[in-house]
Amino acid sequence: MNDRGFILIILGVFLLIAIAVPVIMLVFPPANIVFRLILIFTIFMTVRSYIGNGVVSIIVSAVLIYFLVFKWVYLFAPMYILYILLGMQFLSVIIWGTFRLAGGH
Amino acid sequence: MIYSLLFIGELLADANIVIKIFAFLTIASFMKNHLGTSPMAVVAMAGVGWFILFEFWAFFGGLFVLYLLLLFGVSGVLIDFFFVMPSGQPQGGQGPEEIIHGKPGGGDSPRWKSPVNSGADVARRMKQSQIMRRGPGG
Repeated sequence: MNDRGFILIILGVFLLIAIAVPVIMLVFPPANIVFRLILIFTIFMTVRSYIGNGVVSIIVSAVLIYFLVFKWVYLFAPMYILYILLGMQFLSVIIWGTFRLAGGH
Repeated sequence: MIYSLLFIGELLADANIVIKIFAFLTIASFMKNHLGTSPMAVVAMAGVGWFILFEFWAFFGGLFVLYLLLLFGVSGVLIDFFFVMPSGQPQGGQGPEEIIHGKPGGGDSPRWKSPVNSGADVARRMKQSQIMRRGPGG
């Protein structure tokens, strides 16, 4: 198999991970609630780290939480999971493992 | 079809707002760290914010998304894709022995896909230096 084939397989694995997140959230409602809470805390702490405590911080957090946690949660949640995996360098492990499992040397 | 187009349009509009908010947060944090919370800092923040978020957003928006992607470490994934993944496979079907000893006919310049190889080039250089020290007859 050439490199392009491996890259397509690895992108397919990324896509599977991305699809698994909303599926889990839909199948297990507690996971949905817990994940939304985690996202809310993460967004609020991120905004607070940028502009500190205050009314502006709460307003900006509220707007971001509305868009990212309520309106587009099934799109944002997989992106957040992939971001976490990327931050922990786990995507490199997935790339390496998929490459080896798919027959690469 | 129309619904899906509206969905995409709505998604892009909302993503634009969210990215603008994150860009505003970055500008605010930068100004706060460099100028503090004085009125001068607020004026500078407003000026730079207006310039970046409204006047030249078409340019700075793309730049900001690229900055975020690089900050997240997407370049590492690209390096994994194009360099680390096919590691140890020299192009042209050369094995390690051929790389160390060189191919007959002057083809001793292996072209590795990976910037981090298995040390074969170091072994080759050591072997060449040993040959030079001993001389061609030794």
